[in-house]
Amino acid sequence: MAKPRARGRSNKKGKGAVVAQRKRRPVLPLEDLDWKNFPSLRRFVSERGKIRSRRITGLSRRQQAIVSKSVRRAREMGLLAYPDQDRKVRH
Amino acid sequence: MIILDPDADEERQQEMLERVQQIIRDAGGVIDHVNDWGRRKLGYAMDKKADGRYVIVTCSATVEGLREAERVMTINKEVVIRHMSIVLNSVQAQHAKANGAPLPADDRPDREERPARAGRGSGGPRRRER
Repeated sequence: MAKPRARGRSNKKGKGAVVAQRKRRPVLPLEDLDWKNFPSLRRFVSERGKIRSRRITGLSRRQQAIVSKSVRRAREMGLLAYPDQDRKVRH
Repeated sequence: MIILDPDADEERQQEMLERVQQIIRDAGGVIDHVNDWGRRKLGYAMDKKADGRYVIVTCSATVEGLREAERVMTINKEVVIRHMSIVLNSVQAQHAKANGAPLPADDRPDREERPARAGRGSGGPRRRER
């Protein structure tokens, strides 16, 4: 239920409101954001290890692309875990 | 970035590192930095190993050198658990040349964040947690 309601509301508010909301971006020094810098990447993944959507991170498209690429690289090198990996181990 | 098997012979690990650097140098590359992060826990088990020794080599390498180094690392599976080479853009390269790749400071070893349940929360406008 939550999703359609939220969407409907934002549509009604008109574009100005949506843009204003979008502007709350985390302060992100891009040179610090690197795939090797896994502690700061943890901000952008959920507890399970999934990459958070732009809606939640509030990043720009370009920043989000950098983040998601970095997370995927960090995962490959074992700096971050893949989502739902521990489930496999436990069962 | 190279992940070595920390349980392999110390000598063999060192030899592997030296060899990779030598290959890159021989092919006309330059090694700028070698950062050893030491033994770390892997995010998940690779080849049934829980730990790995992370070494990051920052270098300007030729294609041939890098290919050969990668080939050698792929063959020596009992020493090298995994390796990854990444081509940096000019800004990153400048940064890496100056600083190398030190182990990033983990300011919060345990995650302080609450589990993200944003998709299932109350229907109100979404808020970032932090």
